Order: sequence, then C-alpha cells, then structure tokens
Amino acid sequence: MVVNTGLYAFNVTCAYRQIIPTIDSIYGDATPPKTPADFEIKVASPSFARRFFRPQVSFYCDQHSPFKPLPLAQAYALLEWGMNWCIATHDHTQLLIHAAVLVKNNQAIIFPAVPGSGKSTLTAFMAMSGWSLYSDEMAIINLDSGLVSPLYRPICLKNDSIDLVKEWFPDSIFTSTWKDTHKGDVAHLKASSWKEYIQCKPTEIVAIVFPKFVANSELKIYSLNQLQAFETLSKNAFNYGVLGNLGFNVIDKIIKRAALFEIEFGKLGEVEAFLLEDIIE
Amino acid sequence: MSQFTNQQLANFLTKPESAIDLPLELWAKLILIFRESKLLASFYHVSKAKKCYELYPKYARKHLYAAFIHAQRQNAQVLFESENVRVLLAKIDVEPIFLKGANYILRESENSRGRIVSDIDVLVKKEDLDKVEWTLKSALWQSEKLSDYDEKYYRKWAHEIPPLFHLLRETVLDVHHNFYLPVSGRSPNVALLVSNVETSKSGCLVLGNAESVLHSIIHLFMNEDFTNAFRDLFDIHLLIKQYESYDFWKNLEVLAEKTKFQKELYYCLILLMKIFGSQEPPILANLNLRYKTLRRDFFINTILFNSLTPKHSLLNNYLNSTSRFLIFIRGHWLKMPIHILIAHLAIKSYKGTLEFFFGKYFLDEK
Repeated sequence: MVVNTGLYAFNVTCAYRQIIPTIDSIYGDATPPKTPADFEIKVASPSFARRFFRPQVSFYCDQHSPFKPLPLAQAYALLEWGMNWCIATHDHTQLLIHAAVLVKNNQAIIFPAVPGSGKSTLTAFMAMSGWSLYSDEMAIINLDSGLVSPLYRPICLKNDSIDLVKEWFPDSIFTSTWKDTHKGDVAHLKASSWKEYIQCKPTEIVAIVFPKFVANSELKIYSLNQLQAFETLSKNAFNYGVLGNLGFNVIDKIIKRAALFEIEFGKLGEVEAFLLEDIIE
Repeated sequence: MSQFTNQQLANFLTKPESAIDLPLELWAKLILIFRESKLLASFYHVSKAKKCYELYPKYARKHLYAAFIHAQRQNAQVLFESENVRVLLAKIDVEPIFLKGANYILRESENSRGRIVSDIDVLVKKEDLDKVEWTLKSALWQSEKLSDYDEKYYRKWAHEIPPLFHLLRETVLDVHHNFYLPVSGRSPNVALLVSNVETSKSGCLVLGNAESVLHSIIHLFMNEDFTNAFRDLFDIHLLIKQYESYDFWKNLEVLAEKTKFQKELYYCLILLMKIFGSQEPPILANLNLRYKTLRRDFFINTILFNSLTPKHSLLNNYLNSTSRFLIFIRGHWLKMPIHILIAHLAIKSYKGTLEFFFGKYFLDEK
C-alpha cells in the first residue's frame, strides 16, 4: 500500500496485516501521490524463527534493515520511526531539523527540542487549538529560500502525555498505545486532516523557540543570541553534517530573520498566549 | 523477470540521454537499483556532463540531486581525512599511498565524481606497519574489538590490519601492506605497483594510472564479494577511458604479466566490451592467444557476467544468485590454501546458520 505524507510517498509492504487498519486510520484520507513512491519500505520478521519464537519485527528500507528488530507489538511505532529515518538519511536537498513546526497567520514557529522537553505535548495542544500542524518531528527547510514545508504525519505522544492529550481532545483519532518501547509508552495522534494539510504552503520561519517542560513552573522566557541559536539549531539538524556549507548558509539566513527564545513552561496555555502576543502578527 | 539487463544499466551510465523518456515507474526502479549499487551520484554527474539532467523528470532529479550532495560531502571528507593521515604519518617518516576510492578522489579522476567511499584505504611498507598502527592508535584511530578468530585472520593471513575507525568522526581507515592476501600465494610484489607513484594536489601519494587500473582489477576479480562489482567495473571503464594511450596499454600489459594477473586483466577487458560496449583494446589480441578457451569464455560470459549484476531484489534471479554463490566459493578458494579454507568456512557457516534462524543480532554481545 502507498502512504502519502505529502512531500514523500512510501510504498509499504506489511508482513503483518494487524497494522494496516492503523495505517489507514492515520493516512487513509490522503489522495494517492501523482508520482511513484520515493521509498520502498517493509515491516517484516527479521528471521524465520522470529515469526514464532518471541515474535519480532524489523523495518526495511529497500534492501536493508537499519535498526535492530523490536517486539511484534511495536510494529506500527517502528514503521513511523523507520519513515523518519528514510527521510533524514536520504533527503539532502533540504535542511532537516529535529523540531516541531506550527504555523499561524502564515508565520511559522519551529520548536527544536530534545526528547522529554514536552515538544510533542505542546505540538498536540497547539495543533488542536487552531494552529496549522506542519510537523511534530521534522522541520523541512528549503536551502535557498529558508521556507519551511509541511509534512503529513501524526504526532508521536509519549508516556503521561498520552492520557493527558486524550483527556483534552477525546474525539481525536489515536492509535493504540504501544507499551515499553525504547521511548517508553508511545501512541500516535492524527492531529490534522488531508484537507487541512493541502492548504499548508511553504512558510517563512518567524521564530525559533527551544521549549523545556518543568512541572508547575511559571512561564520563563529567555532571549537567545544568534550564536546560541545557531549552535542549538545545527546540533538538532539531522543532515547538517552532510550539507556542510549549504546547511551553514541556510541556518545563518534563518537566525538572522527569526526571533530566538528559550522557554521554560509548566502550562501550555501560557506558551500559546506568549507566542500569540509577542511573535505572531 | 529482471527489470534491467547489465547492458541496459551500463547504457544509462554511458548514454544518460537514453533515460530522458523513461516512464516514471521505471525511473523509480532505476533509482533504487543505482542507489543500492552506489551509482546514483555518479549517474547525476554523467547526466550533468551530457546536459540531460535538466531534461529528467522532477521526481528523478530530486533523488539524483540528494545523492550528489551526499557524495560531495564524502568527497570533502576523504580529502580532509587523507590530509590528516598524511601529516600524522609524516611525523614518523612514513608516506602512505592512497588506494581505491581515496586514490580516485585525490587524483580527481572522472570516476571520482559522485564516487561513494565506505572507507579510506592506504598502503604502507610491511616493516612500517607496527609503528603506523601505533601512531594512528595514539591519534584517536581505534579498532573494533574482534573475535579471537577474526583477529588471527587479519594478523596472520590478510594483506591488511583490522579496520581502524576515528573515535570522533567515525571514518574507517584500512591499512594495507599488500594488494592481496599473502596466505594465498598470489600477492604481487608490492614494489612493482608502487614504482610509479604520483603526488596529488594536496601532496598525498597515489598509484600511477596503469597501477591504479590493475589494482582495481585485482580487487574486483579476486574478491569473493561482488556486492559492489558493477560499480567497480564502471570505475575501471571510466579510468581506462580517461587514461588510455599507447603507453598506458603497454604499461598495463607489462604490469599484469609481472604481477601474474593477466588472466584477471583478460576477464576485465572482455566484460568491459560486453557490458559497457568498450572498443577492443590493442592488447586484447595477445591475451586472446593465451587465455581464450571455451571453458574460460563460459566462466566469463555466464558466471562473472551474472555475478556482476547489481544485488537488488528487482534484478535477483536464480542465475545471478547461483553465480554469486560460485564466485563466493571461488573467491575463498583463491584466498587460502585448502586446509585453512575448510576450517575458515566451517567457523563462518556455523555463525551464519545461527543468524539465519535467530536473526543477525543473535550473536551480538548484550
């Protein structure tokens, strides 16, 4: 089956029929791509015995499996991570930063962050509160224009945030929760429809905000200088090392135009209020 | 049914204009095959050189361009690392000679454009090996922990020491003291191949033209692993196209004779004509007289030819998987005397069987 994420199409072969309904619930409303798939991917058993004996699944990109196998129950999460891997290791025509991207009034804010920073929870909250979701995982930035493009993917929620987001938005589409992955418990949330996605166009980045969740904290805002932002941004880029000076030039362009902040937050509503008041025009 | 024949794949590389009208479904397959055979970025360069890249569909261009960026980065990395290694070893008065991918990139040959390099290969004198290894290891180059068996394989039988990798940059460095395994009894006299070294722009030593080609031929046709063989043959095609002259052919012929790799040279020339449509080289007539037999023609046209097909599920069939298996056996046969070979295959196949049943990570240390 073909999974269309907008910018990239994946031809997915599943040895396990169980995950097909999940794929359909997340990507089923996308129209088929006009060109052939960009990646041939497969989720299948790593060896003969592993079909029966403590069943495992491996992710394959064309002829190879880049990661170690996971327990069968985590097949869908593995598929999503594998798709990220395909993009991050192949598309060197754009700068790819590990970051969430949200857009309001044609202005994009990117949130580069390390795991555990509350990025995905923040993304889910904002995507459900009227912001356009461009990505939960990857800012895809044009090397010439510096504009960020949208990707049609779900949000990957982890641990406590799964129940929290379910509580806030009970009518949304969630996958099952996959227990005890290397990231803890994981569930995916479909936070936008294909109809909404195709309205999203490449957009100028007006701010870079490095979020950090601190339980019960008041909102604290720190202004960053360009050097600090450059360092953190390049460290969070998947392909900065491959792009070399191309990556340097586009990051340089972005940080000179965007507002640069680091925030510590305990309440999501306060973050949104700050962004709407001080950044979005 | 295979999607493309060897000749068709070669034709896209030598006449990239023939891909202009390719339907998108075939483009998708061609991209997968060329990416897997490490030829996608080379394909970008040949299509650019023939001015047909711009005429390709956007779908193809984005994949080719991404491969080009990746290869360009590797190219810069090789220049950087080779310079580092040269300066480091100069301190102990050793001048390493760069081989294979690093050689091509340093000499800026046609085939270096878009060439993917998985490691950097250098050759040093056998008597310098200990101090070279020691110097590299005190400068952040380390080796993986190997099993006792693999360690013995390298130290006792191989023409190189266990691969080194740079702790910070993860570049892999292979340090050789010969061009082929001494245990085989066929390793050439190193002096014959290094008598003609050249100096690259950055001051690194590389083999001469004919020596570079002969080493590529030895590496390809003595190997048991044909995974990158199609790319390796394309390398040789471009090298010969760029360097051929009366003197070049004469040197190559003499060199092959002195090092006793004439038969491999013969294989290579026949296959270049058959697959890449090269013109008949002036030295072929002599080689024909000595090496052309029905049995050998069958070996070249069936076993070698089918093994050369890129290893990809779109091209795999019974014929090329059987041929590759025979080449695997032959490669080992050439490498080692029979008593060592039997023990070697027994140990390797025991591990292979376990991994077949329990997955390839089964033997990893936890």
